[in-house]
Amino acid sequence: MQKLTHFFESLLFGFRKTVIGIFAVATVALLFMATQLKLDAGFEKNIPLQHEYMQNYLKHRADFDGANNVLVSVCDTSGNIFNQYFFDTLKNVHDDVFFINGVERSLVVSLFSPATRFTEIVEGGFAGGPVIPADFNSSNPDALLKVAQNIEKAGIVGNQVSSDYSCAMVKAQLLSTDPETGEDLNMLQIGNQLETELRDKYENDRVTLHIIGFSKMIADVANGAKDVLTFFAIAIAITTIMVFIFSKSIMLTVLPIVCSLVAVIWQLGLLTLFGFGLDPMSILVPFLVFAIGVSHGVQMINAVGNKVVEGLSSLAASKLAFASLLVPGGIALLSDTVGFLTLLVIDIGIIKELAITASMGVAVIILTNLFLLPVLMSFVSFNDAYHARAKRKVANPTNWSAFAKCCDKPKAIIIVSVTAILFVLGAMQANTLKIGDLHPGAPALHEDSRYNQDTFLITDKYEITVDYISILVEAYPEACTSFSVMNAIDEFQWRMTSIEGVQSAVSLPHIAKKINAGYNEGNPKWNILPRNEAVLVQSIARIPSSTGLLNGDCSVMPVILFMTDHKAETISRVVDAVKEYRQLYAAEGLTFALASGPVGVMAATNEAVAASQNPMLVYVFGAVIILCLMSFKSLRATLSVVLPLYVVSVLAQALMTFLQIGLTVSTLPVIALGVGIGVDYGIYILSTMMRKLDEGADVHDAYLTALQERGSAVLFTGITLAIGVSTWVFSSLKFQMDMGILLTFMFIVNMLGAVLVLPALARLLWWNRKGTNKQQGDLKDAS
Amino acid sequence: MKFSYLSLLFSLIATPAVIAAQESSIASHLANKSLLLDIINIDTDRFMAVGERGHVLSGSSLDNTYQHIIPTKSTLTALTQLDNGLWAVGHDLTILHSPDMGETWLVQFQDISSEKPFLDVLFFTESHGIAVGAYGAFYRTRDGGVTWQKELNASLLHPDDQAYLDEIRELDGEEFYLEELASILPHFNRVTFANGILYMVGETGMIAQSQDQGMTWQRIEIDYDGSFFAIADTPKGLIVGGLRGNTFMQTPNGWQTITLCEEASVNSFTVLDSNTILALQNNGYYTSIDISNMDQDITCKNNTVSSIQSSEKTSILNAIRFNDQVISVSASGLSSFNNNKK
Repeated sequence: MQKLTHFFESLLFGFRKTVIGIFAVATVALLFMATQLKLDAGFEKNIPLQHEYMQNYLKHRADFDGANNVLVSVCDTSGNIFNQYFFDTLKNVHDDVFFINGVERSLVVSLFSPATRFTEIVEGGFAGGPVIPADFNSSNPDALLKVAQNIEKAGIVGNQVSSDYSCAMVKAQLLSTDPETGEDLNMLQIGNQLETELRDKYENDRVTLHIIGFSKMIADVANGAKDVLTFFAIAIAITTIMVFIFSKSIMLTVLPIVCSLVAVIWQLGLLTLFGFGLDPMSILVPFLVFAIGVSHGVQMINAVGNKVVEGLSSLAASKLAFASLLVPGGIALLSDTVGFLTLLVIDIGIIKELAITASMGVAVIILTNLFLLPVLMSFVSFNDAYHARAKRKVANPTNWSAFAKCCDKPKAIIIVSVTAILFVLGAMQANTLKIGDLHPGAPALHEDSRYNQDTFLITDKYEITVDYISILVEAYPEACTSFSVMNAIDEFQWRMTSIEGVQSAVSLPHIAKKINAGYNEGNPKWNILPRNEAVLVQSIARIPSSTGLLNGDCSVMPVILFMTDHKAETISRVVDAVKEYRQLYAAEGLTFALASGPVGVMAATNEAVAASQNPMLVYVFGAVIILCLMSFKSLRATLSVVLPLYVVSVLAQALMTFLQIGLTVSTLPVIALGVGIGVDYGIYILSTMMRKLDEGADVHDAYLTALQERGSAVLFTGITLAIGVSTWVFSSLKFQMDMGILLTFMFIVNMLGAVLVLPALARLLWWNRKGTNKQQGDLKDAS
Repeated sequence: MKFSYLSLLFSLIATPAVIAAQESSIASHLANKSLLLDIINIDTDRFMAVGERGHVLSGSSLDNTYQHIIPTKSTLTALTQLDNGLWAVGHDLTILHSPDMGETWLVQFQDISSEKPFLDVLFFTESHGIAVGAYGAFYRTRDGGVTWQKELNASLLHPDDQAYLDEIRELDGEEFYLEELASILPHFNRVTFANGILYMVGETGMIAQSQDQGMTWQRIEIDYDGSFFAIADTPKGLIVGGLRGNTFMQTPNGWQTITLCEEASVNSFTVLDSNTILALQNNGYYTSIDISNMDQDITCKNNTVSSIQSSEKTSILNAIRFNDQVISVSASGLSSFNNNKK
């Protein structure tokens, strides 16, 4: 290890100007790459594609791509749609949606689509036609009256027309690939198109447009994510001021900030270089990289500054700081990197991307802040004013003895006991941590966002919900003509309807029964599945596959369950019931496969997240433990670092339950990030302590030395990082706010853990360590 | 057992009820919200309703209902009571009986292969009853339901059809005649027994009466050939209703047209008091018909007919007076409104 440090030291400081030149060239090149970085959002990145449910979803996606749709509700502000202006607008909206590139044109449904028909029963049989006749003239009040009657007859109130007749809906489904280019469909572009080409164009004081669907949601998230630049600027400003207060030198302030920004530039440039885009959901990562960079930079300027005050030249001080910090800093950053890489085990595209983005960012900090920064520092000339300020500080050293009392035996016992109690209480609370989204609407956005308000308006005004799950009933070709198959589906649906959380349900047999009653003069006594095959065929012949209730040869017939909400417990209750009841009805050639629909996706995501939670923690802590063991070669030291970290991550989970934050794709990585960053404090403190302990000092003195060397930097870093991320609370994105709260908590409490619990634990672990000389010490730890 | 030789009545000893291996009905807390097709008062303070999936419910209020688990899942379309005996009929030609006010149920008759439903049931005495249904289904028991006999009655046909059948009988023989008769008979939608006369309405404008409990029938002519689903005896005479809200009242001067407010089929009538009839219609219409003065037009236009629509807008099948309330069954289950408001 020492040799390696020496090698790097002579390499770096032997060719200082060359090193800076190389970094400068690389930075300019990567800055150029970074400007090419694209925001990139895909529907499939957010779902666990390997999950059983999603495999079923993908298998049948060509027939039932119900999960990625767009609903545009056009509302008349007067509360009544039957006027010329409204119908003209609705027609324009329908046509514009139809022509959006990426919309499945055969499935655009509104009053103006030819498929929207009514039927009525008359003495001679059925009569019917399109709801809006071919010769419709919106300026004719009689024509509007006719349409009003047809709407009632077609039974589309609550579905295509709001229950209070104040709104009408245009529904569309999106393809997964762009039909013009063959590439993945650009969701952000479609979402923005919906805003600029529909809402901006048609919304005025007479008509409002309410648009929901994944593409719109993710575009809104992306637009909200642009605020992140503001937060970035605020964080840089706050951090700069803090660093200046800490370092009392403009140069020592500018250098770590610049090096951290260089790290961000490198990270963004490398992302483009490797062909990745930046997802709106991981837009916070560059911010984290900057924060981590500053925290390591501060350790570096602190070390250099201390040596300069002791009288060394800039170059000698930088060399010394580099040599003393390369190992702990390197280990800390390496454990961050490995910690983030463990997120790769989670089979959700967006988390994998986060893992790559974050670990890449942290890895480059090793280069920018452990290598470049000390080289730059070696050129700084410290003026007299700095020396004078620093001397005053030395004359009045920060009084760390209060902190060091953590190492007094009784106090250590108290601290560890309190920690243990907190851990037990936290663990009990953390057990109630909910998986999934706990609130209605799109969880990434605030409840009062336009998107969520539109969601609430649509679910309120229509008898539809965006929360539905499809059970894909797989049978054999022409299975819909079999009474026993249809009856099994019908009974399965009925049993599922009784499950708490299922509001209503629809399936092919459900509709076939109604049509059978229709063929029998609309008499509800005939609302049954005909046993006679010819009669059954008659009942389903009129149901097109565009209803989403059957595929072309009716070998697959989904049962669509509309749910009261998408809370995780509701979803798992319904999914469990499906698994129970399908055993009653599954037969040779008849399976009930989970799942499609937005809630089907959530069910898979929730299960994947729940299944990932423990492995992720195991891997993150495993990585941290192995790296600590390697660097400290001491089990006791490792325990001193890892135990407080673990307690804090349990407490973070407990905090999530108090704040009603569910464990989701966006909050799952937070604990890994928090552990990755939190470990830095412990490693910096303990590396000094271990040096002292190895020299034979007792725990108290070792800790006091560690505090004098690194304490102020640790405290400073924790506070600075926390202030930076706490500004996210003001983000227009809900998930950013949640992440902000959780990361603030983890940064602060991990820091407290490192300065209070770590030394107390160390005191207990080195129980018999009394003396101040080598002989009494126990040097050989089990490791 | 007496058989009138002159009547065009044929009895066939029915095959003993073949009860297929069907499971019992499914218990569900949503049964009272499911499609219910008939309701009756079974006690001064208890009602009973039947409907889809073999749902049988009894209760003393809407909030207090109990689902009876019965040995079939067939959809039940009608229910009747005589003393302590209850009979429910439905699809798959199912006849279900409870001898003890709903405590226990057994299937008295069922023919799944028939692919047709019974649509109404009526008992004259504890032992003598009839069940009627689609495609001319007419079954009679004289032993309280232990055995049921199928009957085919040509006198229920339109006179033109009767003449055609008589011709067939002469030319092609008895067997082919019976086959043709069975296929030509209309759906029998509803029976009612008033003042010793049995009335039955059905498809193609069929209204018929029988003085001998259905052994022989006389058709009552009317100038409408759509389906009738409802018939009731009112203090002012018979009222019939059917497809698209067509409603008529029998007066000494013949059938008087009653013009309802909505063109939705009438499924049942409930006599609320001597002057008020409630028509239960598809699309959730409760329609009140004032028959106090039959000399005037009974029409929506002069407010002698008025409708309200239920919030669910689902088809209403039947209703009963229950204390101060009217309790109805519909495609969305049980509901009630206060009778005084009507």
